[in-house]
Order: sequence, then C-alpha cells, then structure tokens
Amino acid sequence: MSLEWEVLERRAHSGDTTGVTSRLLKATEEERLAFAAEVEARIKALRPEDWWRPAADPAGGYALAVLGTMPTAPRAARLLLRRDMRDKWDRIPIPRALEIVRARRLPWLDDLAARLAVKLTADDAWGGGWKLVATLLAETGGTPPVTEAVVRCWFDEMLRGPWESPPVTPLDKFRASPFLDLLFPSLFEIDTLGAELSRATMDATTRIWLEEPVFPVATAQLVADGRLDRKQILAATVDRLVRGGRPAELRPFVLLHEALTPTTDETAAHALDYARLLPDSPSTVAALAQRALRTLDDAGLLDPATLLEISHPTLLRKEKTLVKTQLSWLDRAAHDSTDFIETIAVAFGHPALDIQERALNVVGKHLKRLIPAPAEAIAPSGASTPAEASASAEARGRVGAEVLERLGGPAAGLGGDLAARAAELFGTNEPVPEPVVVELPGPPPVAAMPSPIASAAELATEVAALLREETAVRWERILAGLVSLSAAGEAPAVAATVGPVLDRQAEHFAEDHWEPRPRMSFLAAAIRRLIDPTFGDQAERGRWRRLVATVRAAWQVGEPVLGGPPDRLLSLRVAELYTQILRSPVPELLATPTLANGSLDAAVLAARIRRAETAGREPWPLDLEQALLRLPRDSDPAVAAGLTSPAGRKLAEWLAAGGLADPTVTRVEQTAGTRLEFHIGPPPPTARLVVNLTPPASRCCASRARSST
Amino acid sequence: MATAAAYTYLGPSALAPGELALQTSGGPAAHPRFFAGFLTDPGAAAIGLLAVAEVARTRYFRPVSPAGLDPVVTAGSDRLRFESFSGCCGVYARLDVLPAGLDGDVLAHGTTNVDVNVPLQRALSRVGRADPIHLAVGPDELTVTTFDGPVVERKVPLPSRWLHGFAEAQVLTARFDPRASLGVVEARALLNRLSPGDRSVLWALPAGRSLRLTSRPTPGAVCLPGAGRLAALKPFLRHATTLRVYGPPVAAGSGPVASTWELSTPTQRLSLTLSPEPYRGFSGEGAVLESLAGDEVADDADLISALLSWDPTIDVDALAVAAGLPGARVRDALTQLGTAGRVGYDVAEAGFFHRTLPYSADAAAELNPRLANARSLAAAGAVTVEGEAAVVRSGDELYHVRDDGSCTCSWWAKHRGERGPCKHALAVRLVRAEVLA
Repeated sequence: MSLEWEVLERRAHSGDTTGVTSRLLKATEEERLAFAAEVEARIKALRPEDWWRPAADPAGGYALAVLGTMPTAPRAARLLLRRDMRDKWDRIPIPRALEIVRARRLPWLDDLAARLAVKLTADDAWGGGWKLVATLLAETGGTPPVTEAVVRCWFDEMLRGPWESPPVTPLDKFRASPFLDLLFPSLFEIDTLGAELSRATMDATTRIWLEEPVFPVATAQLVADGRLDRKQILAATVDRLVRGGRPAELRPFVLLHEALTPTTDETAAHALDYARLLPDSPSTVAALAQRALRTLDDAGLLDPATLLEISHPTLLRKEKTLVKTQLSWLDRAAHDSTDFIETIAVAFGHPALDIQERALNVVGKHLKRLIPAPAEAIAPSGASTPAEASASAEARGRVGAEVLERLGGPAAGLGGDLAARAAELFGTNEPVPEPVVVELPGPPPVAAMPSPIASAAELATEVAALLREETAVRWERILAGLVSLSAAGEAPAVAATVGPVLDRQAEHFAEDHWEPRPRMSFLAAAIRRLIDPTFGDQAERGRWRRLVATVRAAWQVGEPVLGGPPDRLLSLRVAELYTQILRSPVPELLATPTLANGSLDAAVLAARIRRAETAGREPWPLDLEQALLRLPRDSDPAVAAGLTSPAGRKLAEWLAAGGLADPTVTRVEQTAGTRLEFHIGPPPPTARLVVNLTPPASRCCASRARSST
Repeated sequence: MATAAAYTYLGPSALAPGELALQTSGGPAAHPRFFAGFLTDPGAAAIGLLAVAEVARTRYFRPVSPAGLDPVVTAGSDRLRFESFSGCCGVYARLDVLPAGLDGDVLAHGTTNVDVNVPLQRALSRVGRADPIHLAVGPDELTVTTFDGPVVERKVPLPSRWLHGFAEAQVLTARFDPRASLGVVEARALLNRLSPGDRSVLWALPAGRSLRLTSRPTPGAVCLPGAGRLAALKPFLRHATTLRVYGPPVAAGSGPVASTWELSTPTQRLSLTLSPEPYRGFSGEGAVLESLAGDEVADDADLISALLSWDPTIDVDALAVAAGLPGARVRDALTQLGTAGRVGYDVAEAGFFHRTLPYSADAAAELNPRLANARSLAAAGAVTVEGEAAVVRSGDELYHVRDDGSCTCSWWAKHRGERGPCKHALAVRLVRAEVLA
C-alpha cells in the first residue's frame, strides 16, 4: 500500500493525527522514503489559507508526515524549521511522533534533535518547542547545546507544575534530569536569566503557593545529597556575586549562599572575593560579605591590612547599618597601631551626623586606651569631659603630633558641635565656622518672545511643528505671523509653503468630532481662506456661518460660547482671525505678548493702538480683550494718555481701574461623608475648609455688553 | 541591515599567576601581537579592563539579549587603549593605559579584538593592588606558527547602527570641553548617590568641591542622562584619584546632550561617554552630518589617512602642513575618518587618535541612511534653490528648507535640530555645494 498525499492531508485537516500515524506505519520504509519528495513539495506549496481553512490545524499531521518520510536530518529539519511549521511545534502529538521514529529506527535522530535545539528561543519554554526537542534528545541519549534559550527552557521545565499525577517536586525533577550536570553550571554563568532564578512554585501535595524561590533551596539540597559538588557550587555562587548585577538578579544567589552556610575554611578560601564585595556591591550582598569577613577575623584568618583597605570605602557607604557594623568591628579589632584610628576617622566624611558622632566616640575611646589617663590629670577648662581632655593631653605627647594633625584634617568637616569636640580631642585649632553663603542661582528671568515670523517658509515650519507640540508661544507667533504676512501681501508665498503642509497633514487639520481640536481646524480654514478668498465647499460654508455666529456672540454678550476652560479664548481668537482676516484686515495683532510667559508691556500695547488710530483702523474686539487681560496689573496708566479711539479709551479705563479685578472668594465647608435626606443622627463633621476662586467678570466685556444694548 | 563579526582566537585569554595573556583576533594580522611587558598598576588595569568588558556585554536600554561584541584594543606609539561600545549603542567605554602604566615594548601598531571571557573576568576581579603582572597582548610568533590546537570561534551579529554609533561617539565628543574635576571622595559620594536604575536626564553643575544635580540646564552644566549607566565606573573608584567630566556647551533650555565621565589614576584613565538619553543610541545623533561628506571631503580623508602614524594624538596643524590643506578641511577629513571608524577622539587630550576598527570595511563605510537618502534626492534633481529658501520635492510632497536648516517636514518638527539636519536640508546642502563648486 503506497502513501497518498490526499489521504494524509484529509486526516491532517480533520486533526486525526492517529490516522496519519497509522497510514505511515502501515507503509514500508521504501514506500515512506519514496514519498519524501512529494511531502516536501506539498508542504512548500502550501498557501496561507491552507493553514487556517481546515477544521483542525494541520501542522501536527504534516510534522508527523515529515518525521515519517524524510531520508536525512537536514531535510527534515529544513521542513520543521519553516516559519509556518516552526511556530506550531506544540501541535505535534509527542506519543505519535515517538511511535513513528521508533518504528523507523532513524540513525540521524540525534542530528535532527541538535539541529532543532540550536534554533530554540526563550519562548519555546511555553511554546512546546522544548518538549519536542527534549523528547527527541531523550530518545537518542543526546545532549542539547548550552545556549541561553536551552537553559531557560530546561529550567522552566524543572519548575513547571506540579501538575503531574502523582506530583513531582522540582527537586525530584532536578535529580532525574539527564542534563543536570551539563546545564546547571550555566544558571550561574548566564547573567541575563535575571528574575527567572527567583521563581517560586507550588507545594506538590498541598497545592499552596510557596513564597520561597526554588533554585536556592533545591541547589542546597542537591549539594547536601552529594549530587552536586559543594566546592564548585560555592565558588560559582561567590563568582556570580562578584560579577555583580541588579539586587533582584543577585537575590537568589544571596539566598543560596545563606543556604550553603560555608564553613570558616571555605570562607577563608574566598576571602579576597568577600573583600571585593563589601565596598561596592548592593547592600544585601555587602552585608553577606561583611558577615563572612567578620567570621574570618574572629577566627584570626583575616589580614589586618585587608580589613583596613576595605574599611575605607565601606565607611562611606550610604547604608548606615553597614557603616555602624563596620565601625563596631574596627572598634573591637583596633590594636595598638594608629592605622586603625586613622581608618575609623574616614567615617568623619560620612554625611550622616550620627555616624560622624559614633566615629568620633570610637576614635576618642582608642586615643584614651592607647595612653591610660593618669588619675591626677586635671581637665583643662573648656573640655567637654575630663576623660577626653586628659586623653588629648597625653596623646599629644605619645601618639605623635603628626597623627593627630592627620586626624584633625578630616575632623574639620564634622557637623554640629562635633568639630569643636574633635578639635579639643586632637589638640588642633577649632575651625572657625565661616558663614557659608550658598549662592543658589536665582529664578531665571522671563525670556523675551522669540523674534516674530519673518517669512512664509518659517511660518510653514512652525505650523508643521505645531502638530508635534502646541505651545502658547508657538501659537502666538503663528497668529501674529499670519496677520503680518497677510498684510504684507505675501499670500502667494504662504500658499506655496504652508499649503503643502496643510495638504500633507489634512487629517490633523480636519474637524474631528471624536477628538475635537477646533483651533487646528480654524487655523487651517483661516490659512485656506487667505490663500484663496473664494474657497468654500459645503462644509466650509457651514463652518463659516457657525464661526461668524460664535464670534459675534462673543463680541456682544461678553460670554464666550465655545465651552471649555482657559484656552477657549485662544480658540475664539483663532475663529476671529478666520472671520476677520479678509473682511477687516489689520497689519498687526494687539495681543501678541512681549515676554514668553504671556505678559504684555502696556507701553507696547499703547503704541500698537496708537498706530491703529493713525491708520484709522479699529482693532478686533477679542484681540483687544486678550491684550488687556495680558497687561501686568501694576502698569502705568500714563502710557494710554492721548489715545482717543474706543480701543484707546478702553485701555485707559482698564489701566486706571488697576487691571483685572481680584477673583471672588467663597468659603466652602466639605463634610466628611455624604448627608442623605433620610440622614439620622448628628450631622457629619466638617472634614475640611476650601476656598473657591471665581474669576471676575471681564470689565471690558461687561462694558461692551452695555454699549451694545 | 546587519552583517556578522567573526572572531577567531587561538584559545581563550587567561590570567595565570603573574601572567595576563590576552588573545587577539583580526586587525593588521589574524592574531597580531601588540605588547609584551609589565603593568605598573595591575590592580587598576584589571578593574578598568573589567569595566570595559562590562559595557561591551550590556544593553542599558533593553536589558535582554546583550550584544556580544568583544572590546577592541589599540596599540598606539606609546600606549594601549581598550574600547567598547554597549549593545544598545548608547554607552562608549575606554580604558587608556598611559605610557607611565606600561613597562615593556609596543611591538606593533594597530587595532584588534580582544577576548575577555567569563573565567578571565573571574580571575581579573581577584587581582590585588600590588600583584606584579606581565601583560601580553596577542600570542607570540612561535605560538602562531606552530599552533594546532582548537581555536575559539564566535560569530555575532554586527548591526550597522552599532558601527555608526561607535564612530559617531568619536565625532560627538570632539566638541566637548572639560567642565568639572572632582576628588575621589566627592566622586564616590556622587556615584553612590545615583540610583542604579535611573533613566532620567539630570544636569550636574559644579558646586564647591562636588557637583550639584539639578533638573534644568544652566550654562556650565553637564548633562547626566540615565545616571544608572555610570555603574561600570564604580569599581574603579578605589584606584582613581580624580573624576573629570566633559560636555558640550549648554544654555538654559537646552535639550539633553551627551557627556563623558572619566576616572583617572596617574597611569590610567577610564571614561564612559553617555548618549543624550538612555533610549537614544549614538547612531542617530547626526553629528557627522554637519561636516558633510562631499567628494572633496572623501578625497581629503584618503590623503589624511595615509599620513596618520599611530601617534597618541593627532596634531591637526602638523597634518595641515604635511597635507598642504587648510586646518578646517583637515578637521572635516578627520570627522569623515571618524565616521568610518578610522580615528577615535580622546577628550582628555582634546585630540583625535589613530585607530582602525577591526570590522569589515564595507559595513563601516556604508553611508548614514539619512545621508544616503539626501544623496538620492539630490541626484534625482528634487532640489530647487530659490535664493534663501529651497524647495525639495520628495514623491508627491513639497518641503521648504530655509537657510538655517529648518524644514517643513515632520522629522524636523519633532527634533528641531537636536539630531542634526533632516534629509531634505542635507540634500539642499549637497546641491548648494555643487552650485558653489
């Protein structure tokens, strides 16, 4: 019975992998080999829809056909590694695949496993790729390559579950794994495994989640069983700590180190490593190193020179616990040499005052101990304690003046009254505290507005930038630039430069009801109207009528119509520009600020109004209103002298009245909890007092409303 | 586009007691031998080499799958420089072993890859301050000719952006000035204060004997972008005497910029150069585009490269005399050579130095994508120069480029010149240069 693709395909399409297997097994090996070329050609010819149209995913069946027919490992691997097959290795029924490869007794199965193994990625821990590769390896007794992906997949397999029945603990999985000796050392060497090693798992019997990471506990147990070499594991752990990394990455190794509880001899073998760890490692690792070194020192196995060398940077670490431990260690270890005292004095440079004080106390104690204070010594007046004073007197005689001199140097930087105490102790001059005037840079002055837009090309650049970031300064420059270019007759240049920007980003300048950005669409409409005064499609006519009504309502009622908080005036001004730029052109805007914070110099505004008066032009009302609101409240009313137009008079009135009035202040009590209608019992207490600020009604609007009625 | 870097070492580098043998691969020979002699301060050299190796295997932006490119070593006339570049293209590390740090002979000049493997890192971390160490960079001739053991081979992807970034970092640092100098006590306090995972942009301002960190730039400040990336400097602190900081001039309101942080001992200098933000690699900074690669610059670069001679620093004036070119053109040519990875820049000496990256030349010489796009625009005649403004037609779109290099494209709108000119501005510059020439 020969094999037929149609039969295999039909079974694969219905998900009948058992059927595919039985067809393959019923054929002879010659028939299977003869069928290989067709399988290859058919799989290569598959179209995308052939994968998703059948009732079941055919990948599993196809993969079995590959395993069942291919004559060599490279050809089988090539098909299984095709993108469409590669992503679906988890669809391959492992027992069926085993039946097939066992029946064929393939000599190249180990080669195939190796070819698939090098292509594993970290995702295959979940994707099923590792399961396939591990099964093939187990079948042939081969070993995987030691790559990060393989290590990750293997480790994940050890920790997964335990869903088997009966449940298998991770420890038992490690014990049973054939790859333990090969892959386990890599857990210490691949730095990027990171949080993976901190993974916890479920208790096999109780099904309760355990908080403790599995890796350290299991490793310690394997070492205790003699399954792993204790010396090697301890060395690898210390190596990993020395190589360093983020605290979270090192945590499992800190736990492992604790679980291993090294003996004093073992610790001594790594003394230099611990000495390296203490000054620079994350705090948990440093604490571990400190404990280890202290054990060594207690056993008399630590070179005093090493202790002094590591103490120097350690005493300046920011973790106070480490520093205090180091200080008390040095305190106990200090022998008759002044080196120790000088080393302890390094802590004078620590930023924390309590550390400085402790260091000073320890130094004082040892100076005293070096020379026992004679009973008859009389404390000189001014010494804080008799003991300190006598110690200093004697020490000056015997410890050596230059040592005290050296101690005095760093002591000058001590905080509080410690510097004075130190000066007495060391017999140095008390540093005269200089009045420290820390010159902080003042608040930067408010920047002036950038220079106005001078060309149509610059306007186009700014309009393009506006889409990226809307800033108040950019908006003001664009509005002012548009008005001045329009007045200078540059409309054709604007058409040539800004036009392409509007076309290119049309969707950003269109009206969007989902994410309303009215300003953008108003600006685009204004520019289009300037470019082409006859511009007007259906939507444009609707917008025109709406905006004219909006602007007129704002002019007359004095109450902006386009809802929305403080930026509504800007939107209204853009609308005003749209309606007025051709109907009542002006050469410049009044409201363009003089400083980047939006403030407008009253003299500049007066000059602008004066120019408009001379030209006989009436400024745009919303523009004027915005300009008045931008005046500093302490502006000099004299700048408006001599202005006669309505706008000029309004400026004079505004300045004379002292600018924008204070907001109305209302006191509001907020109660704790809601008081409902059926509330029984005492009223809820007042939780807090708040103040509501209501901006004053704009006087210019109010006056306009009056004048229009 | 990524090519691959292939390494072949005659065995792993190793530290036997008193003997540090670094294996080499590529460069002027298959396994060049550059140096044999003693290190005068072996403890510091070991820690410095570890720091360079750490940067080489780290990705500060995406901490997964680190790039595995080995550090390179350059033997100049009197010193050794170990360099590496992080996988994220954002950190450049260099250890300079100065003449005072070497007691031996530089046997040949050139640049080669050097193997720093895990067991070697382990051994280097245990080097004591005073252990005398004999250093051999490269195997001796006898080993090379008679070697028949297994070689150590590795192949790693070599993305072109990595190469461009490595080269661009040199050009960018050429604009740096010294900004601050700290004693080691202050340096330690400063580095300890920085959080290891910090990715924010800080500004360091000299204040008293230390630096004050602020969040806004002021004149004289140095940018500290992603302070966590300085972690590799910390172990070197125990040997260092000074921390020097270099950066470009900044003003109030400046955007983030690159900076160099250098720890030095009397015999060695270890420096880290940080990109303007942790997520920004040096490759996209566009610093090289300023001194634009016209054909003339390429010719000058060829002429200049023939005159370079592994000096510790390149004397621009002497080169100008030797080449018969004005100084500005020599500098442009050096920038061009920097882009191709054929010179490096030493901020401490404020000068370029000769070194040729041992990577395949065609990958390094490949144009910056922006410049390539600009060339094709210029070649297609898309640029119309009309006095001050120029119009570039790209597809159906029209872009206007002004004299100051600003453009109406969205790329310029986003970066506003912080990452060099856009392709339209470059195309205009190319065309203007032709018009003038």
